[in-house]
Amino acid sequence: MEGHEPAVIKGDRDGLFLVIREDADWTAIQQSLRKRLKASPQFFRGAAVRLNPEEYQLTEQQRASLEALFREFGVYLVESHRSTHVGSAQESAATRQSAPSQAEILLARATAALVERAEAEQALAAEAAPDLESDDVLVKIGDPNTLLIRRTLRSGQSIAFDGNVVILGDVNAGAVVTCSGDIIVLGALRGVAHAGAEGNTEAVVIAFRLEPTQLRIAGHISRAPDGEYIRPLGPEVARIKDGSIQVETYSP
Amino acid sequence: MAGRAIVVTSGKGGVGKTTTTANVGTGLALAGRKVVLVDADIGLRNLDVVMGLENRIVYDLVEVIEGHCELRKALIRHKQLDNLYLLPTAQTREKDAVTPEQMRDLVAELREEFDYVLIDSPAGIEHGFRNAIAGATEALIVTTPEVTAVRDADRVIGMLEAYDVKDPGLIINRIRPDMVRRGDMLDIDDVIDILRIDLVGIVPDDQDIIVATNRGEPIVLDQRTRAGQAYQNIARRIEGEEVPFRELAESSFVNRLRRLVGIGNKRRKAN
Repeated sequence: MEGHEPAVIKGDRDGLFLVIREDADWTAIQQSLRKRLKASPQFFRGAAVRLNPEEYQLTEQQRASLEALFREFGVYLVESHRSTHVGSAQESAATRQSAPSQAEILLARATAALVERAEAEQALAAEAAPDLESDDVLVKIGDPNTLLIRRTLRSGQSIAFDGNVVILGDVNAGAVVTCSGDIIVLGALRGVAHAGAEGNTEAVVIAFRLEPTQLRIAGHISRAPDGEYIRPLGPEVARIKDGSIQVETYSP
Repeated sequence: MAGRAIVVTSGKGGVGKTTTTANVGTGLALAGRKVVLVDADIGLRNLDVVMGLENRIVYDLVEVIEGHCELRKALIRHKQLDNLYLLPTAQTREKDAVTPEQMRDLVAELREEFDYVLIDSPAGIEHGFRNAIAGATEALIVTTPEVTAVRDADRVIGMLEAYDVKDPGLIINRIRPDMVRRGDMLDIDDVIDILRIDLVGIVPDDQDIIVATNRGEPIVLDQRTRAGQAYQNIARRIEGEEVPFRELAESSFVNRLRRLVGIGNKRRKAN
């Protein structure tokens, strides 16, 4: 189905990139992209999409209109001279699981993920945008695949991230953390956590106090047992064992 | 120097925002501060009733914002305290009659004149909530020891962060020591453990509050009641005074006594 679209956003081990069918009509390209972005705005928000200027001969105007379209959905268009053709044609966005992503995406997503309201979100995105140009900034992040959050996530706040998430605070009931890697909470996890969201069954969830409303790892879901509640005494780890999510005392 | 603008909010309805606004405001006025209470719950006018000033309303907040009357004229002075004022809201209008920008300007104007501007927020997190917090520099979160109220308080604290109202103070309302003891109610530690913000006050569930509210006299004016004392303590803490949480000590002392006696039943009969 995808093959017939005039423009597609694909994913490879380095992140997302744009593929345009060069014989397609420009209006059709824009319409197709808009449809795609509209279909899953949560997924794309804060992401960076690569465009190889050498592969496509775009006019200034065309490029500007693409940028405007992406910006509307909180997506960054970044120029990249990496080839996007090799080995990517058959890959779909869904196969990006557990692949280390491009640092640019991480930075952009990290900045955008936390924000609760659209206004604040925009302000932050604007702040982060210049950093995308410079590679130097990215080196300082350390492991580019991990997002560090130095605060408590409260009810109604959510994080979606491609990589691991470490939270220096609590995740309160009503908050949601979703990521493709591990989730580590240096505090109480009371909300919903989804680790390995893109299919990684090796992902784990660790918390000082693991008392989640619901735990999800890859395609598995488990919830707190009904009835009498027992407060965990120390750090615990949840992982998939024998086909279901199991919780045990964490020992490094 | 501009006064402090404090919004009283909770997310959930019916936890005692209006009663808290009335009593904390009156408590600050009793301490000699110049205080104005702003009812931001447009369409559900209540604060005037709790303050016993309903029959004196001529102009309201919406009329001031729309420029139909001067701010000064809409302010109603309290019957006993001449440093306590109320800016009532409109009953016949809806929340979208004013914008957050207009509220910000209004509160800024009030801060010029008053030491404290206390804003009573409507329940919910929609337009009315955004209006109420627009001009505020500080916030008091009111919650009761129920899971739902605490959940909503948590949501609101998160939203306040996004609007740059930092470090809100927590008031736990309607604590019933007997229920906490039986484990039927969250206790104070549970609530603080979840919300992790500074505790400013604990108000016991007191039947006298209902009586006082219906009479239009804030209970803080009656220092013989436990709730009245609790509200006075909150006012003192807002003023920066270190007031020990005797509400806590008292109940744990009773607890210990009860444990010594053996069971609670005997004592209840003795009462």
